[in-house]
Amino acid sequence: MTNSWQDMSNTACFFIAGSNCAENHPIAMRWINKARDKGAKVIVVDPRFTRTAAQADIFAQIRPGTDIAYLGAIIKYIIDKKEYDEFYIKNFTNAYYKVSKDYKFTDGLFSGYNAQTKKYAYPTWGYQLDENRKPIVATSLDDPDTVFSKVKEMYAKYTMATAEAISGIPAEKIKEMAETFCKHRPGSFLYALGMTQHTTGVQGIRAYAVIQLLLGNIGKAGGSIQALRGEPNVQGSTDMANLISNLPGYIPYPTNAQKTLADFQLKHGSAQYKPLVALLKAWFGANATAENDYCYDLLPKTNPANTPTFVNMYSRMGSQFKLMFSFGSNSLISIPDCKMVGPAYDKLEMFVCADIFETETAQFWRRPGIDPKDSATEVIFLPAAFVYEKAGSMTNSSRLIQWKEVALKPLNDCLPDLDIIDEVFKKVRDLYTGSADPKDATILKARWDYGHVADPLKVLQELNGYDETTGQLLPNIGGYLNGEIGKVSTGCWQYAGVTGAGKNLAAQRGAPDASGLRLDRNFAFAWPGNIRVLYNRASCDEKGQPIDPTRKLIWWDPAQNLWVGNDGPDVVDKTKGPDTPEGKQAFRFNAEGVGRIFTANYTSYPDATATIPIRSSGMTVDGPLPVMYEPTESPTDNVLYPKQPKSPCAPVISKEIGTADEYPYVLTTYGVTEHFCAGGITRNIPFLNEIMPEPFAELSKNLGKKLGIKDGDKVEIYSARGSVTVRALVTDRLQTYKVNGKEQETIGMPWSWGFASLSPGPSTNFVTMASLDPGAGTPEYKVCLVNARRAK
Amino acid sequence: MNGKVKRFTANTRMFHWIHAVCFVLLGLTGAAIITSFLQPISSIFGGIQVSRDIHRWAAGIFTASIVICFLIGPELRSWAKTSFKFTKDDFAHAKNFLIEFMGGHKPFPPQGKFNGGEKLNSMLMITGLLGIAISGFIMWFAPSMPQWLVQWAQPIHSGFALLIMAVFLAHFYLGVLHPDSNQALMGMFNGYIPEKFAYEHYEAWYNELKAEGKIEKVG
Amino acid sequence: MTQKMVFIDTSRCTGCKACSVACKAWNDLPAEKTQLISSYQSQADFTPNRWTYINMTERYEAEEGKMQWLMLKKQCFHCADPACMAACPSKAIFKTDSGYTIIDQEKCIGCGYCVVNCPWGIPKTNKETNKTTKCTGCIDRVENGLKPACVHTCQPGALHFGDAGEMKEIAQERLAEVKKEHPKAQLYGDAFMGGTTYLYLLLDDPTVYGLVENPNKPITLTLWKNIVHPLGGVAFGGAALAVAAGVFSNFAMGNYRDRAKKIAETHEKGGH
Repeated sequence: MTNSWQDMSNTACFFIAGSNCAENHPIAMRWINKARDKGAKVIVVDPRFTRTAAQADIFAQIRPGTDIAYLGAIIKYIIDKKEYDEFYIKNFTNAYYKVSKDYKFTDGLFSGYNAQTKKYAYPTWGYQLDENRKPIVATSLDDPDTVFSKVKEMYAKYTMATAEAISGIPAEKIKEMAETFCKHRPGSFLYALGMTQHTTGVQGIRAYAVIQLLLGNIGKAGGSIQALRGEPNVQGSTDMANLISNLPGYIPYPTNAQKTLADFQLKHGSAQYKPLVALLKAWFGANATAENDYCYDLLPKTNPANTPTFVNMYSRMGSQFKLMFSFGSNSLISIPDCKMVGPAYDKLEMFVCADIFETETAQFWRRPGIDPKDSATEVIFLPAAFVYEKAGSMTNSSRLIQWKEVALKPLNDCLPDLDIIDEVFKKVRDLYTGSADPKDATILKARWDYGHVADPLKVLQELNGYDETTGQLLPNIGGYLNGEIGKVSTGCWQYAGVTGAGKNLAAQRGAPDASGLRLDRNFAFAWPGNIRVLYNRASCDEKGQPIDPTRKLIWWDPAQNLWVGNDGPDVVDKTKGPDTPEGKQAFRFNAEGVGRIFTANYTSYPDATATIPIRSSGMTVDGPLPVMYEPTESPTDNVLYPKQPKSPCAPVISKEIGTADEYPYVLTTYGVTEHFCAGGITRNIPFLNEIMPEPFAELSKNLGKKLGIKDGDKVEIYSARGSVTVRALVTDRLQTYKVNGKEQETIGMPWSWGFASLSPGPSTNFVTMASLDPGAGTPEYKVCLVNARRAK
Repeated sequence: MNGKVKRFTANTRMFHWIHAVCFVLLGLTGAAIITSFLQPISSIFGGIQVSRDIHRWAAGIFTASIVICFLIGPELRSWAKTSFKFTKDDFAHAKNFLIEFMGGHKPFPPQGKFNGGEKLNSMLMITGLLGIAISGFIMWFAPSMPQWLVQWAQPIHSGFALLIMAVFLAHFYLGVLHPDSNQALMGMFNGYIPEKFAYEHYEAWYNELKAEGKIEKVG
Repeated sequence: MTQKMVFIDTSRCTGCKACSVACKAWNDLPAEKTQLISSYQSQADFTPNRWTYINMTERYEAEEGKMQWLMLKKQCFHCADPACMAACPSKAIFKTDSGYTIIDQEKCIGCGYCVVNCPWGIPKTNKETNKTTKCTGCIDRVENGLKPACVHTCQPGALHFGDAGEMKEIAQERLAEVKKEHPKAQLYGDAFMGGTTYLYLLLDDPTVYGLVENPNKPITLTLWKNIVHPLGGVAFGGAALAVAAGVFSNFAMGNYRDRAKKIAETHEKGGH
């Protein structure tokens, strides 16, 4: 989230698209309703009329996977009607930046595409640079080279009528949504897996960014893009690098092309070099010295040609992978096209599963249709402690690091994850002791000192970081930022300051602040530097004063020569005033220092000649602007780009791909409020099984009539990959709609069931499609083609 | 006039006594259920839940016994039929009933097998029992009955119960306590009543029996 | 304790069912086996072990293309003048000064008369224990300064708990606000059964939610308790008195003393 849960109470208009927050983030409704009490509007776009839609002022039923069609139309509307915030885009975005003359977009493809590798090369996506290697900024938006002009050009085709033809949302409704969202500012986008689980997931979120930057809705109280994270600590796990491309703190993961630390620095700039050294210091302590490249060589490097990302790693079990540790993941039923998972685990030498219940994954060798004798994999089950049985920090969607203590002792032999990992590590280290094998050095040289019994506070303190000379905890993020390279450590630089100078700020539970904006800076600790609204510099005018007097976040105090405010100022340097180059920057972690409407390929340097860059801006691998591509399995043609109907970069892992002739209906999958994710916990809670006893398929009354299926009957849903039979809910909440002139049906199914637990049920993921977003690797759970028939 | 007259068949007597026992049980347990004031009665039976069970068992046995008696013998059919044929003579008997009740006497026209007072008793009983059985059945199976029907069944059940309990008191008095009419009590034990009593109370019937030569000698 | 009230703002209910889980958890009620019925509803009715649940109503107006998914949290209304209490033959149901209608489990005999006479059929009798149960309003929590479990757990702010006066004010304010969008919106609970402790804001007519339009104490209940019982009592008492008078009169007339003689006397009692 750019802002926080509480900050939703400051919003004037919610655009909830790709989130079913009333069901899957019930707490969101508490804050949304506080805003509604003040007159806020709610727009909901969803393939189904959900429990969130029931709360909406405007609801639009969309064909799954076509978000960019209508979002493109909204971008066009904003530009055509001049609804964009001129001051904002000029000062805080790259709208005026001139794009390279070599940049092209033709027939659905950007310049630089390699059809063989299905990947883009980025050089043509850059800016026109001046002699100091700084982007050239145009004086007028009308300059044909500006980002703004490129956006205008790109979305000129995205008319309301075209958007309607593609998405099934009536043009009038798209217009109404655009008008409402432009009229009521600050506005917020709320999204979750409904937007990420597409082959165009990242680009869909980029479309939100384009809209929000044009409208000036970022960096303001109530103006945000809110990623509603699905699990209480999923933000924390992302911060700790649960993705293969990152190290903790979103440091790019070194590849085998960067053999030395200098190579890394040259590639990613000094801005990534410093946190990497601090991380290596945290991990290897005194063993990491300037002379040995801070143990950089002990860090395994990835091979970009052979990177086993999520999902496609299952084809490498037994070959690339011999051992799997599964912590609280129920992959046997949560992976799309999940029939691939069980046989993959059969090929492992050993499978270790730590969970609080014996989930389907824990007993993959007992899955239906399999003789356990046929699986040679050695399986070890480690009983884990439940959330209330372990202390530690959890980081929620608000980037809020919250400390908790143990409420209950774990049952019997159950252990917290930390204790399990700690014991395993120490045992492995014992076994390696004395080894001269270079591959063992990583384990042997690691600074692993969380105590005889691992103390979670020591882990948080490692993340906070130390002055390695004195051994003192860093007092705040300044301690890290101003610290000398090689002298400070932090396990995740954004977390610097969380334990203060000995005071665990994650545990603070202070009252709401007096500003009335619910920044709540005395409640726990938000990274970075306890800032609650990111980019909040963008809420101020050129004099550094709040633009909205009712939503004052920060301001420049000329008397003190300091940025101050209700929130922590998100500025490069608190002492640099609004008239300095640093004091103008609202997006300090972008190489350009501004919000990126167009994700240009840009690297900043300290001066004209320096070889080591400061930082490179992150890239969207499938294009600098969002493009409407059809999902991997689509019922129709792409009227915008007939020559490039689908994502040119998305990896498709499933072998069986269906066509609309055989599989005419669109299936979309999701969770329900009563069960959590793969149901490993919730299907073992009788209360929850009472209120949601079984999986189901939702379909429109028209489709029900056509198939002879009544509410409550059983229905078989089948795709090119598999089939499941569940109860049918024939409902008005799904309506027949028109796509490119033809009637179309969407079927909806939750996916939280499997063969085990107190409430077993068929797993929807036997039907779904394994194709991935090219950037994030998120599978396209939200769209595939199916057929349906009545079942007994 | 020292002979005896056969008044009730074994069938009728059996029915009467099943009815009587069930009636008393139903009355007592019903009273215990319906008011908290009378709830202590239930301790006779071992608690309120046992009382409720007894109430239902007794209701079942009682209803079943009627059905069986109606099926196996003609007596009840003709009794029920006769009871609802209330003639001018019956009315004349009933008119003087209160005097009879109090121990006095006033002449009345010759009565059939069942005199006007008895017919009154039977009519009230039969109607009451029918109402109470139907409403009771509805209440027994309340969850599967329409709510409004059960709501109506409740006052009906209570109302008829109270009514026939009142009738029962009078019947008990006349059959057991009343020094003259309790001569008929033996009729419910061995089936016979004194010839003289029959002549006095059911003259028309007595004459019929005499014509048919059905007056039996005693001893 | 002052008069309390729970205000149920259905316009804010998202149908997450957390209230029904919190209720079972707090009151130690076992989970029950269900299946989906329609919509997202698996709980069809109250049971002896289910004191609150969410009723879902789907309404689609094809012409306007307008969909409504109406949520209704159901539980005992805790009427000021409850029919269940009037119907209870065991005096097991009582009112607290805080406004709650409570079934004393010690006194309850499980007769089910309250079930039949509740206008909404809310109490349910457990056939095994022969006890009738329903929402207690979490009186055990309320009397110790806590909110009822359902209110405590409600995230979207659909449930409010407090002093009756304050709740009524909030309800009126919300009604005025909600009426702008939903002209048929109305409060449900203040105008019948003496006023209920659980007050609803509905977005439409009660019948749309499957609620009785004008709930009343059943007329049969009045007939039963106020007419039949007194009259029946009089009839029964009258009969008893008559019997006593008869015995006395016979006694006075010497009919007991001279019974044998009188029977032996040959006089023609008939109509000769």
